[in-house]
Amino acid sequence: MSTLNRRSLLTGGGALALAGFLTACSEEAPPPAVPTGPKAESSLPVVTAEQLGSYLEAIHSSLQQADEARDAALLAPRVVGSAARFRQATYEIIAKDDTWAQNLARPGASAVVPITSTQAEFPRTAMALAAAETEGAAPYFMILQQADARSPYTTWGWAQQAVGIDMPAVASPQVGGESVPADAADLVMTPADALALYASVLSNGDTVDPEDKLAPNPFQTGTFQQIQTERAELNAGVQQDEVATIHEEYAASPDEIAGMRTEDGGAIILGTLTSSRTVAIKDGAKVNYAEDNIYTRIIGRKEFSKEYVRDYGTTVALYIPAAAVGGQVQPIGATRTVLGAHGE
Amino acid sequence: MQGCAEVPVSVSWKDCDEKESVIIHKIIAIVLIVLGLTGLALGRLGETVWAPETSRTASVALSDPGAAVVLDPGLLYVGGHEGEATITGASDVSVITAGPEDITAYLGDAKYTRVTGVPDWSTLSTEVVNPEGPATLDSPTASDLWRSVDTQPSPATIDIAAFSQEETRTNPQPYRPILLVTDGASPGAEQVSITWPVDAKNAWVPYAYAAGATLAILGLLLLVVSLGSSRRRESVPASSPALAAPFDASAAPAGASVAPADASVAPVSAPEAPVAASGPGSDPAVPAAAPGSHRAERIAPDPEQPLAPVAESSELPTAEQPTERLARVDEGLDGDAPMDENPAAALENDADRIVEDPSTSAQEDNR
Repeated sequence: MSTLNRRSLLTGGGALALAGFLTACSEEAPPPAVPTGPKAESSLPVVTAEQLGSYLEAIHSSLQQADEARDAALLAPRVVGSAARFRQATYEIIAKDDTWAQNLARPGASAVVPITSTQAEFPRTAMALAAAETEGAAPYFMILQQADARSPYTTWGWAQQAVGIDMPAVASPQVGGESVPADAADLVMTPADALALYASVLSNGDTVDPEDKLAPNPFQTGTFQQIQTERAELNAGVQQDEVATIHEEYAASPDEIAGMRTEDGGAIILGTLTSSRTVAIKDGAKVNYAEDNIYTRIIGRKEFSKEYVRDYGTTVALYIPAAAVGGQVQPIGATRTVLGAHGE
Repeated sequence: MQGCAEVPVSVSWKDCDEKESVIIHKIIAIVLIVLGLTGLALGRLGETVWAPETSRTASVALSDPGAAVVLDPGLLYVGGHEGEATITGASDVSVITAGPEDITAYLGDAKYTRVTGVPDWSTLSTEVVNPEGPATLDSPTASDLWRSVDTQPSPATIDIAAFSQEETRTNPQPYRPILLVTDGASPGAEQVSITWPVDAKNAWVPYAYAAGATLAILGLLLLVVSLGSSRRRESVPASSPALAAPFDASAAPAGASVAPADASVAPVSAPEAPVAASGPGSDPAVPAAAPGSHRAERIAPDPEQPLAPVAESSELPTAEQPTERLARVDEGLDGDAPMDENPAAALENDADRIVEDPSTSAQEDNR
């Protein structure tokens, strides 16, 4: 090999090596692992306030369409359970007395206070204080539940906020709170027990609550006042209960109790009560309504000699303090629906 | 190159050294220039041909992914928080976001494909989940779990920066997956590609430029200096008989004789020593050559010549009289040796010293 060739070979090889080295220096590093992002400082809500708002809109839309059509089938899939049954009953009453349609109040489409949950397991629970559709009316506590990942959030009830009662604080929707099961034991009493106590007190008065665990509340006061007024009217001019007795018996629906944790460790729970107000007419006596009312129209008669029964469904909201804090169970909302009436 | 061995006998060995030095300087200068230009060229190549790509695109074609494709959390950010993901589907593509576990919960046992990572900058890795599961989804865009549903004509795009901003807008939280679906019956996506911009540069490019420029400048300077020296050598009659044969008395013109070497005539501190005789920038401590003078002039004195003619030469204009140099030469010699004893030998010795004195050489270069 000539000197020139050797020199050319060396020069070319060197240039190639240098180019290779620099090219190697130019090569990119391999991709990093997929980043996971920052760790959450705390548990995050499984729904956002925006999502909750969209559920309320869907529920409101369903209610509106069903109310306009007087067709409870249109309530599905968003309005379920007792809420659907109560609505169906109302439509039936309206069918008999169109004036009853004015009682078709419903929650609005927006949340005054979204109460989000951090519970990822199904069924999931959330709650909202939804604005009333009627301007100036008190908002509604609405329960929202999702049975599984492919089901929509549904509601089985709402309870209009009671007036004049302090409300507990709840976690911001960005933080969220825990959902509370019916048997939560870290409260002054379980939600199921609280609902049962409330039903019992509403049925029998404060005598069944000797420890005064239930706080006074407008719904109870108003209901008792109605009954006492009616009792007085029934027995006007005669001995007490000489013509008829009147009693309303409440029962809690065991399948419809759910709630959300409050900031102080307590809980707001919603539950469903059904009740029957019975006017038991004494033998030989008669009750005759001079003018028709909604119940006589439903029943189709104004004179009763045995009994006169009105059925109601009520969704109630209760605040149950944490056991560590203590305090009375405070009813904070209720929405009552006339389900029907019968008598003879 | 003419080797010193081939130099005629009349040329002194000092001239031969200088020639070699100039040639070596030229070679070094050229090498430096070549290296410098190479460095500059490499720098340019590093900015262009060898520069990293301005974007990277990793993609995957999905043949039978199922009714849904899930981009794992953080996948969009492997190449940074800017760029664009492009999803091609058989029909409109819906880009869906949800909570961390919600997509998995929703898909349940359905067949779907996860895009899990970026094994290299051109490929996305995938994993089929529930390969035997149902391949259809009923109204996949209608779930309450979805936080956002963005349906676009195929190919759908995701702006990574906007998505990142949206995802991290609220509290710090782990990244979320992205669900891609079409109509629930067709494949969730047929192709997914993610493009990230790249602003990377070769780190060595500035160094290549700096080193190249430095070497080139040094080489040019050295070349200019070498060429200057060479030119001076050629312009001065260094190879004239008077210089080539300094000891040839017959060839040495009387006029070439130097000023009196008598220290008493031209002392170091002689007031008549012209300042102008010093070369510009010369070290005052070093003997300065008179304008137009040459080192050979210092060895001009003919040992056969009496000093008397020198006295005649002393009548030359002062400005042209290299009195200072001679005075310094006297200093460089054994000061006790009288010039008239062996002036030629004395000057010869001095010439040796001056040649070896780099400052003197530099002084000559500066002329």
